[in-house]
Amino acid sequence: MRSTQLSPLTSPISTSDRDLIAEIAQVLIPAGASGPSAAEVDVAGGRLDEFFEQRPDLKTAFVAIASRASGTDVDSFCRHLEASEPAVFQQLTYVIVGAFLLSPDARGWLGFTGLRGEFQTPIANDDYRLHELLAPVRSRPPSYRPTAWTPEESTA
Amino acid sequence: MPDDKVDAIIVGAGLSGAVTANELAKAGLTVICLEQGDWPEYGRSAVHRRDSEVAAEQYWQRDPNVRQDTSDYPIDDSGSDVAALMWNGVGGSSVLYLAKWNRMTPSDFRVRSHDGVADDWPLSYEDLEPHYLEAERQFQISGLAGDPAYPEGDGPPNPPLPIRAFGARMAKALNELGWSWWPGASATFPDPERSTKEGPESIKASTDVTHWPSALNAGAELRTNARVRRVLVENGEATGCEYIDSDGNVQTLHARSVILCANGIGTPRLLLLSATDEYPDGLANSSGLVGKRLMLHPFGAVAGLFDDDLDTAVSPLGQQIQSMHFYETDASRGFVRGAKWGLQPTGGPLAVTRSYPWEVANEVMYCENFHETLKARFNRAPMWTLVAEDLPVDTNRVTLSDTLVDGDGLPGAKIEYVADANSRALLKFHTEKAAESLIAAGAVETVVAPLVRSSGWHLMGTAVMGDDPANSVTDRYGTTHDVKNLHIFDSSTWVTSGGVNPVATQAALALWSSTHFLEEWYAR
Repeated sequence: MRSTQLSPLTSPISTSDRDLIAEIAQVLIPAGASGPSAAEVDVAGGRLDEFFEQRPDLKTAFVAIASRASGTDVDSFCRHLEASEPAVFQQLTYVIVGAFLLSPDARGWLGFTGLRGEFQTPIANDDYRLHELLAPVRSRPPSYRPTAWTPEESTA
Repeated sequence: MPDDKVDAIIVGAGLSGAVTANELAKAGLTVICLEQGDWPEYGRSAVHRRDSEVAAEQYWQRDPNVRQDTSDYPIDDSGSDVAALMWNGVGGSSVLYLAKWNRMTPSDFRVRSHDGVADDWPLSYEDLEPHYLEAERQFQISGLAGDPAYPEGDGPPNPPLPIRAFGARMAKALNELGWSWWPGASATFPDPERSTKEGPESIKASTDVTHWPSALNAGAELRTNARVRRVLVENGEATGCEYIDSDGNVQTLHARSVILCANGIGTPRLLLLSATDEYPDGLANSSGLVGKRLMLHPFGAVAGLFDDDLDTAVSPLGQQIQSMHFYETDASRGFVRGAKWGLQPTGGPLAVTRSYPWEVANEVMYCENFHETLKARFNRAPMWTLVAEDLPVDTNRVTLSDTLVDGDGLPGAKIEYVADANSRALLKFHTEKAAESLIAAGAVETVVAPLVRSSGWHLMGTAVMGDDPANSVTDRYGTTHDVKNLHIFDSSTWVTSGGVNPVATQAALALWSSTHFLEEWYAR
């Protein structure tokens, strides 16, 4: 049988890790702005669990990164990580922002009701607004070089 | 050769494999396609679900090194400016593409004659034009004929998609600048009946939807989870393939012809894996060019932030408008060739915190800036994506990895790719012009990513076609010079890359090659 390379982690996040994650999340998404903070939408609680239901593959690495903040000034840790290890910082922020955006309150603040499927009513070929916009383009000569074009033509 | 051989084995069920299987099966040939992946399971991450942005990053992950599905093989890209992206399964990368559909221009096939660099193709725009038209019919493309960047002629069968509020805004700005644009051509179905009846997967023209049902109905057989490990050759003829099934068993399948459609990395990988005493440097490699001349389309992106909602928080399929204004060479710019611009939405809120072009501007994204930055980007940020032509060089290449293996123990691929000075100058010019256009349209800020690393969708050039066996791997129809019943119908054969999304040309090329294959078949 082929080996399956993904190995989802199902063990729960410890209380101490969750507390640390809550601190990190609150630094990255603080209170006092126009929208809800991380704590206000429970990023480190239910939202995180919801996130990892979809992305169990990210759990181990995320917890490992977050645990590096233990015993540090979390604000300084985040800013230093962003400056010194941007790829690792992105792993951290992807989970925290992803969990934040699963919150109905956060989505409501943004006015985001979910991505729409891409079906779009096509423009009619005789749509006058489109053709009005296109008129200046159509008034110009062709811009392509035909197959038989020669460099001499550019200086002619 | 055993009697149970089929007429054709096709390796890979992606864009080229599907188009080819459909043509050959409809013509009455016995066809078996071997695909290392499986059918896409769209229900695993549908766009309308609340967690779609999160879930999509796993199942629909574009980088096989991150996704690490059993269908993937590892690619060592540590020596490359650009990471190679693909989706291995039925439909191939057309399952994940953003459905931008652009023909190449006549000059794209005449790079040496027109600009004195690289090589001319052994075929022309005029050769491919009828196949472009047929591909546009088969994929039900939406678009509008008459773009002055192309010769006159018929265009896609369906009208263009709406250009949306931000498309209209940009079109007006380009008009004021005196720059050309055109409604974008897109491989998204315009038929609401199809969308509602068949589910969200039917919105986009990927070949699992557009071609495989027809091919299977015509009698083609598709074996999924079947990874080809070697093309078999005897007395200078391909006799079939060895593949590993989902249980890990090695199977042998015999055929009168073998057609590789495994993409610009998978195909040279397989040719190199198929080395024998007779072909010690890999199959069909007497020119030494298998794996060389890798082209990846260096890719730039420029987003503009506007003060008002512009409906950009939608899934980024298709393109609202496109511009080829700076596409043709102008020597005064200091580089040759050009890039197509495609204007697209930037997607949901998680998308605008990461990926391109935002990564280059994220130093202001978090902490005290988080809410206002997210608000400024969300639904207010159209983006130009710039597909830049890169020129073929032998040192940009695919080889077998010495260190990485796939789930079946076969060597992975290694890519080496450096965007050269011409590519970098080209991208600098185009990103500056794209930013200028956004400012002209009223953007209060632009975010520019001049060379996006995670952008190597377009895998081209690694088994180049040509008339001379000394400096090409296949002839103009994709038949290898060294093994006459071994064919390559995928983008490995591209001579140069053009500066547009390649799906239209690759679909047309698969039709061109299939048509010739059938003519030869019946002429025997």
